[in-house]
Amino acid sequence: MTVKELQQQLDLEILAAEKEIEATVINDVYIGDMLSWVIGNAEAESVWITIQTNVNVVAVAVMVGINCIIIAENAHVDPDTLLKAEEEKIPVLRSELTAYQIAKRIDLGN
Amino acid sequence: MIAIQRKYSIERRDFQSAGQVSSSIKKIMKQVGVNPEVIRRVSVASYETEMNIIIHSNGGTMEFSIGSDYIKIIALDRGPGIDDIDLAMKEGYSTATKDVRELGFGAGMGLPNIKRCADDFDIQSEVGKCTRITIGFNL
Repeated sequence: MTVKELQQQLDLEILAAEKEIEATVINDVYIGDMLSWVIGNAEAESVWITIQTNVNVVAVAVMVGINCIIIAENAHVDPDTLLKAEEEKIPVLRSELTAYQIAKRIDLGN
Repeated sequence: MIAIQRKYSIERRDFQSAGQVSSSIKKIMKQVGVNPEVIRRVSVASYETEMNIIIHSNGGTMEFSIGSDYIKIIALDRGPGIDDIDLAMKEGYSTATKDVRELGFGAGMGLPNIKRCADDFDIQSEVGKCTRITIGFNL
């Protein structure tokens, strides 16, 4: 599934790296707000659902190879985070839904 | 493969630049064509190491070197040192302060993550002086 398909399906707000959403593919979903858990356990090419929004989430995504970040429950995102995400070409999307409700709606077909 | 060496300086509590060293290391590995599975392990270990220096130390350095069959990272800080290394290595144990935890750090998984990702791992610490972590990866 591409990030664009995901974005359309869940009607997600695009906050950063809009140009990347068509070509970016996701194969897994990870939910977490503790960065060391995410970095230790998330699979590459995942979409990561979190309410953690400081600039360090982008560095974690880059290290793991996470392809897309979804901010749950309309959490406020630091402008620095979005700048960094643009720079690293990692789409950041946002929803008013909870992490559970978002994940429930993602069908990766596997 | 040509041997490459880099030395980076890391400042205490510099959360805005956090991840830059690991990002630079990852780019070098990509450029020289390191296997993606190794890149992932080195990236996780280097990021956790970099964050440990930022969060817990008075600042320090990270040295990265890559040769034909081995990657080595040496992290050396300027203290304050670790009182009980066995406890620090325990999953879930953390001395991170509340403000750091609010940023999503302090899960107590940093050192265990580094050890798990590395092929060779060594930690030496002297209270009041420094901590040195040496991490190696076979290519």
